[in-house]
Amino acid sequence: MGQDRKNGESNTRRLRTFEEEILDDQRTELVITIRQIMLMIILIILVVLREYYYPSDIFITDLF
Amino acid sequence: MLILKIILTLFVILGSIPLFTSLYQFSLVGIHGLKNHYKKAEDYTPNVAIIVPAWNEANVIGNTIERLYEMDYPKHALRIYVVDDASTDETPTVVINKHKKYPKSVFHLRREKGGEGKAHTLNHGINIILKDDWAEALLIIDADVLFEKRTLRKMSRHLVDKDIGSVTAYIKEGSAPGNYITNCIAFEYITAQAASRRAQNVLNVMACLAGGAQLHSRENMIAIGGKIDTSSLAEDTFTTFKTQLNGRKAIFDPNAIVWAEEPDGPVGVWKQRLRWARGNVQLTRAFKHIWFNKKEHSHLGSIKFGLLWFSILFMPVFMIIASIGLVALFFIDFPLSWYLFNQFWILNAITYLFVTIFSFLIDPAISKKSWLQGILFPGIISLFIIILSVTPGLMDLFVFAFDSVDTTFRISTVIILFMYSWLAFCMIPAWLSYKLDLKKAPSWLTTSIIIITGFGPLLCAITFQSYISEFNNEELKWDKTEKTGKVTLGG
Repeated sequence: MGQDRKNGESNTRRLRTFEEEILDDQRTELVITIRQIMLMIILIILVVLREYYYPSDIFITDLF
Repeated sequence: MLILKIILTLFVILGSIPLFTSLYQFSLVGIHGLKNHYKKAEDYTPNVAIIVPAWNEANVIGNTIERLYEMDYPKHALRIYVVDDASTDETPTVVINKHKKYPKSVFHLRREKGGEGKAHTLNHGINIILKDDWAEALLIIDADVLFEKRTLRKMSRHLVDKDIGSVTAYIKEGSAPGNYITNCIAFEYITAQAASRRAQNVLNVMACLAGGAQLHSRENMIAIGGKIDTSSLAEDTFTTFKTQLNGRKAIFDPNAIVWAEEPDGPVGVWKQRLRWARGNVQLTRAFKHIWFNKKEHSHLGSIKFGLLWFSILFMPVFMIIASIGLVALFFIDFPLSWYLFNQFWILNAITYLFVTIFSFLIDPAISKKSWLQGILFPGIISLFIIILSVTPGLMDLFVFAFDSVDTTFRISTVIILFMYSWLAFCMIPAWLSYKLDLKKAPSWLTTSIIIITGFGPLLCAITFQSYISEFNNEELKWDKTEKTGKVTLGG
C-alpha cells in the first residue's frame, strides 16, 4: 500500500516533470518563431528605408 | 551574341539558387513553433539499447559510459553496448571495468577483425541486440558524445507515435578549450542542425539523422533490414532515407541536446567532411530514382527537398558557374555584368544578414562563444564585398577610386575581375589552408587564411574534392576523426 502510494507520487511527479518539459520546449520553439518575425520585420524596414533614401541605387526591388 | 548573353545571365541566376534556398529554409524555421511533433509526444521510456562503436577510444569511452549511465532514464530500461572494433589501446580494459561496475547495464562486444568502418561495427552490435526481444528501441551514438541528462527521454517521447521511425538530437560542438575552427563548427551546427532540421521537420522530410545521436524504434530498424548500409561513407544518411522510404518519419528534436568534440584544424575538418561529402555523392547516385519524383516518395521526391539537397551538393558548381558568367559578361557586356554582380551580392548580403542574425537568435548560448566565427563565416573578403554592395555609393567609390586618368591601365578592371571570380577562387586559398596544415604549418597561419577566405569556402572546397575523389573512384577509406576527450557538457 505504502509502496503503491510512493509509486503513485513518483509517477505524478514524473508526469508533471514531463508536461512541464514539453511546455518548456514548446515555449522555446514559439520564442524562436517570435524572434524570426521580429527579425524579418526589422530587415524589411531596413530594405524599405534604404530604397526610400537611395532610390537610384541598384537594390533588391530591381529583382522583382 | 544575344543568346550567349542570356546563357551567361542564366549562369549568374543559377549561382544564386543556394542563396534563395537558404532564405527559404531559414524562413521555415519559425513555423516549427506551430508545426512540431510535441503535441503527439508522451512520457514514454521504452527499453533502449545504446550502441557505442569504439575503436581506440580509451580517452573518452569511460566518461561517455558514465554520462550515459547517469542519464535521467529508468536504469532497468537502459543497456549500453560498446562495440569494440578490435581496439589496440586500453579501450577493452576501460569497458570491461565499467561492465564490472554496472554488470546489468554495460556490455562489451568485441570484434576481433576491425577497421572496416563505423557501419560494420554498428552492425555487429545491432545483430546481437536484435536477436534478443529486450530492446524496444536502439540508440546509435559516437563514442565521444556526451548526452545531457534528459536527452534520451526527450528523444524517446516521440517514439510513442508509431509513425515515427527515428529521432535525432541536436549535436552541439563542446570542445573545451575550443579554438577558431571548433567555434566555426559550433556556429555551422546552428545553421546546419538547429535551423535546417527544424525546417525539415516542417517539410516532413529529414535529410540526415545525426550519426552521433539517432534513436530508432525496433520496428524501424527491422524494417530497414536490421542493419546499417555498409556500401557508402554516409551510413547515417542512408539510414535516414531508408527509414522514410519504408513509410516511417524521421524527426529532429532541437531540445534534445548532445555535445561532441569536433576537429580543431583544417586537416581534421577536411578528413571528416570529405567522408560526409563523398557519402552524399554516393547517396545521390544510389537514390537517383527518387529525386524530383513524388511518385517514389511524396516528401523525399518533392521539388522543395530536391532544391535543398542539390543546393548543398552542388554548391561549388553554382559558385563556379556564377563566376564564369560574370567574368565572361565582363568582356561582352560590362554594364550587364556589373548590374548582375551588384544584384547577386545584395541578395548575398540579405541572406547573410538573415541567416547570421537568426542563427544567433536560435541558439544564443552557442552564439556567445561563436559570434565572431558567425560574422566571419564567409571570410573577410566576402564580407567586405557584402558591405560594399549594400552601402550606397561605396562600391563605385572603392572600385574606381584607384584609377588614374593618365594611364590606359585601369586598376578597377583588376578589382572587378577579382571580385567577379572570387566566388569560385575563394575555394583555392581555403584548400591551401588544408595543404599547409598537412605540412604542419603553424596554426596561426592556417587560421588566418580561413579568417580571410572563410570557413564556408573551405567546406565548398571539400565538396569539390569529393566530386574528384568519387570521379576517380578513390578508395573508400574510413578516416576516423581523432578525439582527445576535451568535450564537456556546455562546451
